[in-house]
Amino acid sequence: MRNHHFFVLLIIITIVLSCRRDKDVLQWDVDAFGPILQTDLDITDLVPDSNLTVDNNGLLTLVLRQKLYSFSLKDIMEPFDYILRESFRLDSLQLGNQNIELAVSLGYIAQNGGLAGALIIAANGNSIVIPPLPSMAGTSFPVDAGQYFQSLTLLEGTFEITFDNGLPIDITDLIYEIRNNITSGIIIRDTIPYLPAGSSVTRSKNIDGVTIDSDLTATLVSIESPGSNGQSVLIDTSDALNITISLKDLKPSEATAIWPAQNLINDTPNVYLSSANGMELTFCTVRSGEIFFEVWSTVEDTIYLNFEIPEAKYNGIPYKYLKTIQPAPPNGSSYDNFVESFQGYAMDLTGKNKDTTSTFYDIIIARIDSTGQLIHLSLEDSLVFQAGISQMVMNYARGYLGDTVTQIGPEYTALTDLQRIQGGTLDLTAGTISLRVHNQVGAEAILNIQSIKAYNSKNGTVEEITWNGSSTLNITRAVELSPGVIQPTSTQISFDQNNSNIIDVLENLPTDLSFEGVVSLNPNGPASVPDFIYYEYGMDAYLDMEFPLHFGAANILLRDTSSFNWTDIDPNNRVIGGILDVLFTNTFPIYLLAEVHLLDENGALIDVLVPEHLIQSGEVIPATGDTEAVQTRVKITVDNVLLEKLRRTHSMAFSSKYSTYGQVPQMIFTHQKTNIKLIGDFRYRVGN
Amino acid sequence: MAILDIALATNPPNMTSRNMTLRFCITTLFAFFISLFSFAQQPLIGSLLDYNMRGESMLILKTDFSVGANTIRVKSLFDVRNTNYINDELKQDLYGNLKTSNRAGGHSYFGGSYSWTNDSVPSENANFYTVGYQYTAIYSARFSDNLGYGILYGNKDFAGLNVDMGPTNVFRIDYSKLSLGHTWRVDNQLLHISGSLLLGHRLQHGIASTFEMYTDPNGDYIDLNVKGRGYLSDTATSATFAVSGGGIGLDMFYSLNNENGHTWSFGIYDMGIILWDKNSLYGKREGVFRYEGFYVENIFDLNDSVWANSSDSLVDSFVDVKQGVMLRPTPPLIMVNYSHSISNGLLRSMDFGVNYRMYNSNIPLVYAMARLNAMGKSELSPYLSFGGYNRFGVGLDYLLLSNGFDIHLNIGNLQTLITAGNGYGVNGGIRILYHW
Repeated sequence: MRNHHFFVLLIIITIVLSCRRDKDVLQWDVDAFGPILQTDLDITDLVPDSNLTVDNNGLLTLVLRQKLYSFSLKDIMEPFDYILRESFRLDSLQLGNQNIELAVSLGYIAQNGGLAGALIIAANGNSIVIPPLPSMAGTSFPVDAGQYFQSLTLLEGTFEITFDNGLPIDITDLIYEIRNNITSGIIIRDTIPYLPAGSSVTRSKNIDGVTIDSDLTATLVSIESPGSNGQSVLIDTSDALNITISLKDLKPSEATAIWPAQNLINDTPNVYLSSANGMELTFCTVRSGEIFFEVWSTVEDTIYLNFEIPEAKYNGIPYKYLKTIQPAPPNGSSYDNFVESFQGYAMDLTGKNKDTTSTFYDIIIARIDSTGQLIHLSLEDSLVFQAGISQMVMNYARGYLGDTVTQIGPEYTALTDLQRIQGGTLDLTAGTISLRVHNQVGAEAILNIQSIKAYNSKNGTVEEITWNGSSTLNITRAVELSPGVIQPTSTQISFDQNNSNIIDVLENLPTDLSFEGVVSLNPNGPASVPDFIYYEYGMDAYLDMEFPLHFGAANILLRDTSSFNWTDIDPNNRVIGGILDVLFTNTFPIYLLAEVHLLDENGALIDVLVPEHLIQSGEVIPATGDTEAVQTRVKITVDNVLLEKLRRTHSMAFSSKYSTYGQVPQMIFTHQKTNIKLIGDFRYRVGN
Repeated sequence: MAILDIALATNPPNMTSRNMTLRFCITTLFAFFISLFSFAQQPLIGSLLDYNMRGESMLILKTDFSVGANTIRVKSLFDVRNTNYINDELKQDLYGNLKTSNRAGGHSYFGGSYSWTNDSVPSENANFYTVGYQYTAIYSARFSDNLGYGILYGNKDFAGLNVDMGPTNVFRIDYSKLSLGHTWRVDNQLLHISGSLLLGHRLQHGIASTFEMYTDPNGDYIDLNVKGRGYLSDTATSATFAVSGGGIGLDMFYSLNNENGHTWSFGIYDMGIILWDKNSLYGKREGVFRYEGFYVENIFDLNDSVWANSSDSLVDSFVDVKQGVMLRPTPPLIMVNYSHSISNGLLRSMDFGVNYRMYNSNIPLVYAMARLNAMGKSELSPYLSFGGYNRFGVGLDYLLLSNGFDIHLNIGNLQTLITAGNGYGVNGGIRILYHW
């Protein structure tokens, strides 16, 4: 039974598979005959629409415009850069005067005064005659400055001590000293020979280079008194000799102290726009640029930075940057920076006092707060601040643009529309050439034309345009109706066949132009209203050439090359051979002798696809000057040899000599065109 | 894509959907030469076997194919099938017998079914259920000799002539059927009804009641006068079982056997509708269209995008193509069979019947069959047929009945085999039935 199952399955599989096609390719050849593609060539295929105008009769006028010169903010002002660098050192710091007060009471002195001292103590509250007090042994008092500093090493400073004798007796031969407990060094030792009761005396000492600790000892080495000089005086044992110790005018080289709140840097420098190049600007807006800021600090305290450009405003808000710089670690430093766009800011450029031009100012403040903490600073510590503006480009500037005189040119301009003409003769009936200045700058100017020359690079000839009349254009200023809205002015000077040699120049088929002149800006000095100028909208000088397409031509030679890839047309090599019929239906009053060459990847000639062949012009209707269509067929036999050449072809070179009907002036109308149709009569391989 | 490929509507690479439509509109008119050779139409005499369940269960595996044409010999078709290139001799074989109106077509089935009964005591009258799967492919074409000539030889010889190439109807559908049915057997009657879920794989249908072409003597233009319409399922799916539509179907079969040995059978198969998905294309065209070449803006810049844009523009101007879901019927097959039992001797019975595929380019196929006793458990049944996609045919049917297995073999158009392909159709089929 199993064998039976297998047999049945085999039959089924065999039948099913036999029903399926096992070959995917099936092809055969057909003789295909019919149009393949077509296209229309009208005047816009030779000249862009924008260069053509049409009159009411459909007659075309060719307008060629070449920009000769341009003058705007971007041409006259380089990007602006500036860097502000400020630094701070410890000797810039202020450490306030430090005052320490002590008191040596009468009772304290009496305790060391022997018998006389005992009498004084006993008479407290009563009046007695105090006998002379002999020299008493010195006594010491601790002086704790820890509430002000821990240690000071001074570049400069003054130690001052004041004794105010509040005792009822005079003091003589007072010897005292102040000593650093830590180093046991004596800061000051001095003698006051006589200090009457109720009087005071101040002694000071330069302590430059001295190191002072907060743990001091004041010692009265010896003290004597002549007593009350026989006078009965009221004894009050709380009366005292008051001692005030002051440290003044301190400039520490190193200190661990409680620093008072203070500005480390406080500056408002003026910044002059060096790129203004003599222009006296009062206002500008920023098109692009960056503002940057960097700070390095070894200060072991928090630094509060404030960087402002008060007259640079964005939506009316002045530019301001606040930054808190964290304390530097011991023996280390802290760093911070930022960069941000400065685009869109509007800047007043009249300076701090509104009395100058092309100037703005910064405010830079770096401060520390009083924290009540002991902070160590030394001369090695520093705070370096660097800020500025990078590559600032103005979008708009207002003020006085100056009275510069600029030599222009010679500026060379290629006449690209005419450069395709390789040769031939042209017979124009009319033409106009205009030099036009389109001014969007709020300043007056004078353009003096020195020369306009036309070059034909094909035959090496030069024709200078000459004319009868003025060579000067007085350019009036544009008006700014509102920010960004300009009412431009236009000034032009025109030449035509009646007042110049323009026809001769154009008939020479120029390929390039040169222009030379002088522009004088603000020739009459500052105007009553400020000048303005935009980055993009400037003063542009154009040369407009207009001539009606009513001309005669003889063998005007145009050459062009177009890339070509046969595989785009026949990727699967289906064309076996046949005839390619190119049908021209021409209504232009122009005939041409056309040639088509096949070129390889190196531009070398492979073969001539179409030998020079006459394509008939449209038939001109004398009454109207218009034309009727005329057909021309060009047949190309496509055999295996040509197919192989076409497969090697990388580009085709087209060469055409154009002549007007009858080689006399003809009018070109907007509706005229040449229809080109490719008709295939091919043996062609079809299938999948 | 090359302009010549588009213009001649062959098989350009990277076709856009619209180009596919264009290709379909033109190439399907002659596509039957390439792809329809496998199928034609044959009598469905064996269908009564599908309902002859013995025991509790029945498994059927079956396949069936047919190919036929009324004017093209099978040998020519198979020559085309076995070559990559149609030479002039083969062209002449294909074209030589064409008439004003020609038809070709066929079908292919393969699949299987399982039937079971819930009756407590299975018998010859037990009712039963059936689930099944069947892959169905149906092809047909109706075309003129002028169209055939144009396809094989090109239009150059038509220059200056107004050539009538219609009417034309080219059809192809592939779909799968998942069915659930029930069969009632009461005394001498049998009724089978099954509903099915249809999975559409592909549909190509082009109809042109008018199709005239004029080629300008200079080749400057080609005028087409067309009245027609076309339907095309998603062209992006090319795999055999790719699904691009879904629908429902219905099959019915009824048989009446009276006591005098007369058996009448009626059947409608493959009746259904399929909703093809949103990537389907359909369109129609009525009127005269002048083709003057693809219009290009710049003749000096010919590249692929230029061809693609130009061909799209051409299609737009030629036919109103829409993309979206479309509901299309499947072509049902109607069959009627009459069987008259004669004896238990050599000639057991005589069958007469007719098959007709609706919405298809065929004519009713009529047949007569003699069922001969062959060694007791088997029958050998020669038959004569006429119609369908092709002409007169002689066939042979063999049925082996055993305890568990039934085997049914059918070979039609024997004259084609005998004459080495000089007939106009060929078909065959096999059924394996297992009862337990």
